[in-house]
Amino acid sequence: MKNVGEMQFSEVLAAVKELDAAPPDSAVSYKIAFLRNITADPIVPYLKYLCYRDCLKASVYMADFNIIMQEAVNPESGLYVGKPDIIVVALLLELLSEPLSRRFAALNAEQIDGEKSRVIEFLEGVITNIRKNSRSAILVHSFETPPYPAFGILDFQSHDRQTGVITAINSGLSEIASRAGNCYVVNMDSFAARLGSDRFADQRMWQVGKIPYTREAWKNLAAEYMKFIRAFRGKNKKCLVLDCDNTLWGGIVGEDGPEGIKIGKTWPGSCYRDFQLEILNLYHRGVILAVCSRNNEQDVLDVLDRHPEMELRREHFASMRINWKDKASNIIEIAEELNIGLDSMVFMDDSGMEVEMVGRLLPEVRAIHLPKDPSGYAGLLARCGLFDSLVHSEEDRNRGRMYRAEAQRKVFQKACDNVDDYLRSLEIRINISRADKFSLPRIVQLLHRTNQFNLTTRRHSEAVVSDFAGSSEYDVLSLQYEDRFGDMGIVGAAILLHGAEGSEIDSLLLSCRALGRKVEDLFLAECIRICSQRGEKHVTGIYAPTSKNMQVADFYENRGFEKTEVKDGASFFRFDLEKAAIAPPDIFKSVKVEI
Amino acid sequence: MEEKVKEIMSRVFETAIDEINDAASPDTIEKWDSLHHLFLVLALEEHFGITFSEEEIVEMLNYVLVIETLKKKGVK
Repeated sequence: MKNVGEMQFSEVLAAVKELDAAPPDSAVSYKIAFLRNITADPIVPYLKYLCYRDCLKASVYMADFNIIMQEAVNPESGLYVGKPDIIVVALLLELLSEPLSRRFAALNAEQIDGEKSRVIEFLEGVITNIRKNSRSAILVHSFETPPYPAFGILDFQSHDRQTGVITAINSGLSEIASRAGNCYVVNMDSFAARLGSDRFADQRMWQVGKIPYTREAWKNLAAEYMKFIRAFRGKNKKCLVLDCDNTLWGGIVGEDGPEGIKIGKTWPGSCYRDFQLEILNLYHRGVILAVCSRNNEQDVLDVLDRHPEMELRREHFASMRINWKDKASNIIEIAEELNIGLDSMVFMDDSGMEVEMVGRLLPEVRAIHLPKDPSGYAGLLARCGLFDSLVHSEEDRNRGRMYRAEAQRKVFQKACDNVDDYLRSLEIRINISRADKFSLPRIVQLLHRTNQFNLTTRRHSEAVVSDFAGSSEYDVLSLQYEDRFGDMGIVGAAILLHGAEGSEIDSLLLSCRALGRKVEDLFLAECIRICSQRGEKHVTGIYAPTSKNMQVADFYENRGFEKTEVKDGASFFRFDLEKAAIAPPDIFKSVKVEI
Repeated sequence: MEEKVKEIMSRVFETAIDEINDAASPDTIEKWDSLHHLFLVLALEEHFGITFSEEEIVEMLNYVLVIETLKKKGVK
C-alpha cells in the first residue's frame, strides 16, 4: 500500500472506497466512535486508510454535531451500540464556553472561575459517563491555547489570563482522564506547534463549515491517533536495529580508525551524539537495541568499549551482528536470538541500498532510511512514534539489563549437560501473587505483547483486568522470575474464572524469556491447586490458535487434560480435580505463592 | 485541467467520471452535499496549490462555476 504522504486527498478517498468494498482477508475489524462539537469528517478517510495499512478495517460512528452529554449518559445511544474499540472526544472550547474563548478580556475573576468550573464539570460528566457505560479506550483532545490570546503579550506573563486558564482546564482534563482509566489526552498544543498555527487552523473552513483544521492537520492528526491505536493493540515496535558507520558515528571505523570517527560534543560529532542520546531514551523506555553492521567485529567493539565520547556502550545492546553477511540474514538471526517477531523491529541505516534490500526481503521489518544530513537523525527517531506505548513499567526500565543477564545465562548453559541439573543450578526463585495496582500495568502489558506462549491471546484492556482483579469470581495472577543471574521481573500472567462447579483458565501466558525452564509447568500446577482449594470440581483449559502460538497447541493435553470439544476453532480441555493433580517440578530453589 | 477536475470530482462524489459534465451540480449528483462540497474544495486546493476565498467556496456550486473559478485564479 502506498504511503499516505505520497497521496492526495481524493486519491485517499478512492483508495478507501475500494478497500471498503473488498477488504483484505486478514484485516481485523476496528470500531472508532466520535463525540464532537466540530466537523471532523475530513479525518475519516485518512484514518481509515492508515488503519488499513495496519491491517485494520475501521468503521467510524460520528455522533451528531454538538450532541455530547446526551450520547454519553445514555447507555443505549448510538455511541455504545456498536461497542467501539475507541471513543474520540473532539471538543473545541469555542462552543463549550464562548466567554472563555471569545470574550475573555471582559470577564472578571469570579466569572472566569465560574466558567472554568463549569467546563471542567462538563468534561468530568462526559468522561465518567463514557467510562461507566463502556469499556472502550477514550481519546480526548486537550484545548488549544490560542496562538494570539486575549491579552496579547501580557497574557503569557501570569497564570490567570486566557492562556493560564485554558492550561488549568487542560490540567483538570488530565486528572479526569487518569482517574477514569484507559483514557488518554491528545495534546493539541504540541500537535499545533509541530505544524505551525498557520498550517494547523483553517479559519475559512471553520466559518463556512465548522471544520477547524486544515486538510494537512487532519492527515497528521490521523497519524497521531494511530500512535495510540498501535499502543492499545500492543503493536508498538519493540526493537531498534542500528547500523554503525555514519549512523551511530560519522565516518567509517574500518577506514578512519576509532580516533578518526566523528562523535562528541562538537559538530559534526554532536549530531551523532544527540542521536545516541535519543536512542538511549528509548533504551530506558524499554526498547530493545541491536547492532547490525558490516565491519570487523573488533573494530566496532573497540569503539563501543573504549571510545571516550560514546554514549552507547556494549551493555546497551541485547544483540549484535557485526560481520560481512547481508543485513537481512543478520536481522533474521537477531530476531531469533531475541525471540521476537520481525514485525516488532525497526531498522535504521544511512545507506539507501541496505534499507531498500531489507525492506524488500523482510517486508515485516520497518526499514527507515536516515536523511542525508545527520543533524536530522535525532528528530527523525523522536518523530516516528513507532515505539510509543502507554505503559512504562519497572520491567521496561530494566529490560536492557535483563537481556544482558540472559546473554550470560546462555554462556553458562553451554557448560551444563543434564537439563534438570542445569535448571537446578540456576537457583530459580518464583513468586506467584495476586495482581495489585503495581503489577497490574505489567500484567496488562503482557496480555497485549505476548504472542507465542499465550493460550488464548485475549487482549483484555486495563479496565477489564482491573475489574477481574476486584471480583471474587476471578483470580488475576502474576508470576515473577529470579535466578542467580538476575531478576527478570514479572514474566507470566494467568486469569482464572471460577464458577459454581468448575473453573476456567481465561488466560495463561509466559514471556519467551522464561520458557524452557519448566516455569509453565509450575504455573499451571499452582493454578490448578488454587482451583482445587476453592472446592472446584474441574478446570477447563482453552487453546485459541493464532499464527504465532502453535507451540502451545498440545500444552494442556500433554499435562493430563482431556480434550473435550472444538468450538469456533478453539479447543477445550478438561482437568478433573477429583481424579488427578499436577505435581509441580522440583527444580526450583524457592516457590512463593502469595494469594 | 478539466479532465483533472472531473477525476477529482468523481472520487469525492463517488460517481462515474462520465456523470461529471457541464450539467453536474448538487441537483444531479447525489453525494454533492455541503460536506462533500467542502471535501471538493480541499481536494482542488491541494491538487492545484491554490486557496479559495469564502465567497468562492460558497458560490462555485456547480461544475461550470468550478471551472470558471479555477480559470479566474489562473489555473491552466
